[in-house]
Amino acid sequence: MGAGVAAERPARGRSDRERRSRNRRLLGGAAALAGLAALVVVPAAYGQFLPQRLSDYLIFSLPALAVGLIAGHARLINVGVGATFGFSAYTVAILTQHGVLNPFVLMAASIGAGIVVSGLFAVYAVVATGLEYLLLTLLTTSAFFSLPLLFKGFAGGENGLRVNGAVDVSFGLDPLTGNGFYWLLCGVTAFWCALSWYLLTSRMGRVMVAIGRNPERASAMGYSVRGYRVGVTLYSGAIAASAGWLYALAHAFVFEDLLGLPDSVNFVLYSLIGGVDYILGPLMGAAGLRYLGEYLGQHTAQSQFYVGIALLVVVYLLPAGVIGGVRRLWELMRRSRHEKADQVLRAGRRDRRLPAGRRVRFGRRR
Amino acid sequence: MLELVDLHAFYGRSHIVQGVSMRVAAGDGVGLVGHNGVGKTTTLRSIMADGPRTEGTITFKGADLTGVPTGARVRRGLGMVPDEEAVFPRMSVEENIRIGALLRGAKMADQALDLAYELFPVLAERRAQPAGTLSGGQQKMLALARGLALRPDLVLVDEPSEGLMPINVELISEALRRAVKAGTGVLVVDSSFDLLRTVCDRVCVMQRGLLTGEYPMAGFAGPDQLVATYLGER
Amino acid sequence: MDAIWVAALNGLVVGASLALVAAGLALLFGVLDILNFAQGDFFMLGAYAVWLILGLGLNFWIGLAVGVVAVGVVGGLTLMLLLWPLRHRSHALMLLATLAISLILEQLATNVFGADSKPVAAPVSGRIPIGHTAYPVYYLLVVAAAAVILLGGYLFLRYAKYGIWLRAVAQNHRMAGLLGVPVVRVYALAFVAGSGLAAVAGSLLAPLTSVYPTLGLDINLDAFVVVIAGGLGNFRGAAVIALALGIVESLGSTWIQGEAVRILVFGLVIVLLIVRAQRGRGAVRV
Repeated sequence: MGAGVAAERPARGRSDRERRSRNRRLLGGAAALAGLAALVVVPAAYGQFLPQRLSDYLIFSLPALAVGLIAGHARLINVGVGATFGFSAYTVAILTQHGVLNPFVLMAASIGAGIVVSGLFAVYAVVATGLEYLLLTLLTTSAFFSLPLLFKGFAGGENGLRVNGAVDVSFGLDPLTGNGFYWLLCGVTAFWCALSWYLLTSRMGRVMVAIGRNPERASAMGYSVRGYRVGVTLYSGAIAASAGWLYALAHAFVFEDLLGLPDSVNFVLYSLIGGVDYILGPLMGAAGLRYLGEYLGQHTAQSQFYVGIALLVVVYLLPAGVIGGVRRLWELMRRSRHEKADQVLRAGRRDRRLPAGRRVRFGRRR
Repeated sequence: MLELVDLHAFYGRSHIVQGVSMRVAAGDGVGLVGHNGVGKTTTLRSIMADGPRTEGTITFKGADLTGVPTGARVRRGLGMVPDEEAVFPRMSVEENIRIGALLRGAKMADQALDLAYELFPVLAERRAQPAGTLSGGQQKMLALARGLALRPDLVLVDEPSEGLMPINVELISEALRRAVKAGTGVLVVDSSFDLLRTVCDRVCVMQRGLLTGEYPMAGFAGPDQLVATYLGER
Repeated sequence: MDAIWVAALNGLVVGASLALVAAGLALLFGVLDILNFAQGDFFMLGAYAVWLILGLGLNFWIGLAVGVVAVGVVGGLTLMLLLWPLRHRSHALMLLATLAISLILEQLATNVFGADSKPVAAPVSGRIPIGHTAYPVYYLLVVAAAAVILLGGYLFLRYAKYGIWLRAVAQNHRMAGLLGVPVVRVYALAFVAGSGLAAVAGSLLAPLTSVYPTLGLDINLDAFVVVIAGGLGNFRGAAVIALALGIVESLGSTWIQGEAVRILVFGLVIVLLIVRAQRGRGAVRV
């Protein structure tokens, strides 16, 4: 049909983009390492209550990361991560009540129990999507909330359950004194972040991102969408379960609220406000919102109100979360330095009419 | 009755319609032809304020339509029959037709039903069936019947014959011809030569967002000649 | 034996008000394709309206009317205003916006009214004998009121001009606009009616539940279950399931411990959803 529109892309431009991307990743990696180093060294040196506060943030950021991975890459909102988290914590407590004090056994058992629970959510991910999936996770989490009340003798009912065994269960590390336990937390968190980053940037990870963005097309290309969804659910279940294990060790006490909806919803909020498309997003979201809650808790009793406002801000202005917003700002600033042609080319490709329809889209819009 | 002066239409930053000017008078049957993607549907949707951002002037019955929302344009006498997803799937055929006439009152609704069933007997057979269970062709007939039953002053029809069997194309063409003879203006986007020949006095050819020609329909002896007007150009 | 009748009747009362809330939820879902997380909070606000008006020394029914109008109109239109800019973007964003509104409303209610549970006196006292028990007349009144409202709503949707237009907008809002339906006005109607239904349910039930800021949470979850399990967009199915849910839970708790009933019910719904999902899926459903 006559002259097409395929412009000759200069060879120079292509390697330029590759170089930029590699630079960005090196920069990101360096920043992450620096951040990790700071995280490990600074609070320990500073002492006081900082390691304990950060321990709290770290523990609660892991289930947020779990939710973020599912939401960002499987495009499903799983409200039930809290059930996994709480169930693992309860497993630790119940086992210690029956004399099991070996830290390795407790770790394996609680994480295993959590993965079993997330198996249930994996089933949901296979049979449902969208609102029905959300409802299934909502109901399940609500049901889990009632479990300790039902099995009062076993699980302590409304009074909660203590974790016996003092510091033996946590490899001899005391959560309340010294920095050992804090470093354990740093280690676990760094492990999950690094593993997740590695998986996501691998070929499998990029396939998952593609599946998340357009499941029909990925399925037509032969990828097992259900398989990947199950995989993501179980993997993030492991993350949430390890957080539950750590929580039990840190607080030596578990109670039914850990299993309930409000905590679960909080995890979803942490990851959304931080930004589900990035690994550090949920971590920042958890730390930020928990800090906000503590700060506001001292001055007012209005934390829910501010969380609501924060959520509205994200919804209207920063749909990709705070990190997404920062990144977009960064890209905007960088783009103004490039030539107009590049801009127009990208703009033309990005402008597609959005189909009017019922597809649930999430986070960053492409 | 309808006048477009230098109409431009955009989806986001895509410049689809790039300066179209045309006129449709009462009782005119005008066809709009061209390749896929040149902007024919977008032109129709611009006239109805159904999506694209527009620049330029659209005048209907002497009044400028700038800033007038879709519903108001319909109430002034414009109508559109889109090419897909045009029916209310969970409502019956009869209810679908009635909705169009609700604006004008209950008696209007009965007349509308009579007209619709007369034009397309198959709809009468299935009047109680949910519209979503009709075949694609039957849904198009339902949509057209409903659009015409509203008795607009000008109706825009998008690809009515697409996917239809020849006998149904005849029915649709006949229905549109009757509308034209009754004084309704018809602007139809279609590729069926038979339909265009039955309904239209003239045809506007569109290429890449612009009108490149207007020809009387009688000047074409066959479909090839019509297609030649928008093929083989740069 | 009497205990069963009483339990069944109680279940009917709860089920009836649940049906009202679910109907409002279904309305909003029909036009926007999202579940309104703040629906339970409108329920709660309706209850507070009654408490407030009673506190001013006025009639219960005035309180109900005020509640419905205030929450329905103000709440509904505010909700619509907040969701309007998001309607072309993802559904998840709208869901989250309603969640945010829910959090804010709960906090505001706690601030303004306090977190304590406030009792509300029923406007009609008196009991009628059912078997050997004396059953409160007001409870039966609630069921009757709910039935009337739901029936009226059904007829409205079926035959009234705006009701037909509402159904049209819910099924194909673009085509509705192309037929001259005033789509924005219809949306506004859906929002006002949806919120108003929740408010009237809250007002009616206030004497039974007392009023506190987190009143909406439980009924929210149940309402979601009703709307989704009843089949999205199926009003009659939702009403039936609401009644069934109320009765089953109420009857169940006479035999089994309260929490176990909830878990059982949830389990049933979960199974139902899974079975339905399996049946509805073809070979290549993603």
